[in-house]
Amino acid sequence: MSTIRASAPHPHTGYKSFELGAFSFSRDEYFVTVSWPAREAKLSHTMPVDAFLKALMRDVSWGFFYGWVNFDAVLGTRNRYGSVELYAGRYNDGYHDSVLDYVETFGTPHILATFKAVLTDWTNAGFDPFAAPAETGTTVFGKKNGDNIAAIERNRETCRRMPGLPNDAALRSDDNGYPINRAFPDVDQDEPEVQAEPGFENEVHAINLFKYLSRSDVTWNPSVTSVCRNSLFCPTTEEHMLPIIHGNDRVEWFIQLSDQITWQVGDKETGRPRARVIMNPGDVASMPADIRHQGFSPKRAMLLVWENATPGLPDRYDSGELSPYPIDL
Amino acid sequence: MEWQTQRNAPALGTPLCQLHDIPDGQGKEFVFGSGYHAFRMFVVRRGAEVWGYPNRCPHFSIPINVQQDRFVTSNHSLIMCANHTALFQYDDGYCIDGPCRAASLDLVPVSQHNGMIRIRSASARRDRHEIHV
Repeated sequence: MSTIRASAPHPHTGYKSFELGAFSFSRDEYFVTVSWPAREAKLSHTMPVDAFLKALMRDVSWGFFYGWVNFDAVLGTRNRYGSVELYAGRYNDGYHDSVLDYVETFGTPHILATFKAVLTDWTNAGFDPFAAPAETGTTVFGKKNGDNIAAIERNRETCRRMPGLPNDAALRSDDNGYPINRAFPDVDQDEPEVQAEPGFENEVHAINLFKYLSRSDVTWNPSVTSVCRNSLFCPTTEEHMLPIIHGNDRVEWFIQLSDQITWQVGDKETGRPRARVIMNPGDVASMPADIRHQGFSPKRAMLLVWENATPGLPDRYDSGELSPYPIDL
Repeated sequence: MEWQTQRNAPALGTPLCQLHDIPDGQGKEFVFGSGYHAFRMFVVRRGAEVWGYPNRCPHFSIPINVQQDRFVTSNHSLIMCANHTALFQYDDGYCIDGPCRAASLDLVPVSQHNGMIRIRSASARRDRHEIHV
């Protein structure tokens, strides 16, 4: 059984503090403080609690995702697919060059259990870390005030092959708790008409993807809408900013379906700026395997993320067998 | 989809490997056929007991492992999908935590006799029970 190292609730704020390896995590009414050993001393980093919880929520619900999940320019995790590295300053030149960075590796179930305990204790009633800022309350701040277990136990919505197929994820509707989001009242809600040739009635399936996405209840949390072996279509609706800075360990493809998202792209190792990409409907971008990226969406936008789940990809990129770019220009 | 109906699924009695080819507490993948329609399964071992499952997570329908033959947690207590950390019991493939909690891996019945692991005919699944990590 994983041992979660937690303090008693703070006598003033009501929040517990946590330790994970040599890292420690505490929060007050506005901020999270993370500490780690550096040069025989203890170094600390402070983040706004809402930003921290939104990042932590993604890391937990995505199972540490592909590669690097940077909570900000200092703190983050790297998925080693069986273990997870928790780092502070490792991918920040200022800390790394000054030998003030720190990395510690944990078994995945252990770090996951600790992160879930932090999320559970620090998320107050009325705050949903998956929601856009305009769609949730400000109860994340202040003293401990209840919890929101239902919100933080959400997972990325998935399917075995495609929503709407027998024994697969259900299509979204008012009846199953997916009303149309306030940003998409004009999205056509008709499902496609399929006219199959005789004998093929059970072999043809189609859905209205825009309808499906218009009913997404969260932001920056992709759903899976088609699985074809290792090819995953993960469309999503995005509003405000991606709460993490994702460092790729493989090539990802982005297809902008509506509205606009601006991507800030930097070097994966150092964070040095590499590009700013402004995507409008119909634009397609390949995010290389050697960058980190963060998206900004001023209005809720639809985005299709195409993921490659082929086993062993990170090692093939690390070894140089695969180029970080899908093509050479 | 039942594993037997999949293209390239191995026949009953097909030998897989010797027991000692799988380190105690760990797993090993077996691939039948090649390319798109290859049938991929894995076997995990605890002592003299072995269990077989298709190499497909019920969460995303993608392979469980990212690195070759790495199917279990570092303390060898649970099967773990390396992609999104779904945790499954060795003996019945039941997911006790993670994004597909309460789902199960399909079972590919295997047996071990005189040190040889083979595909065997299906039998009743064991009762599910909760354990904790």
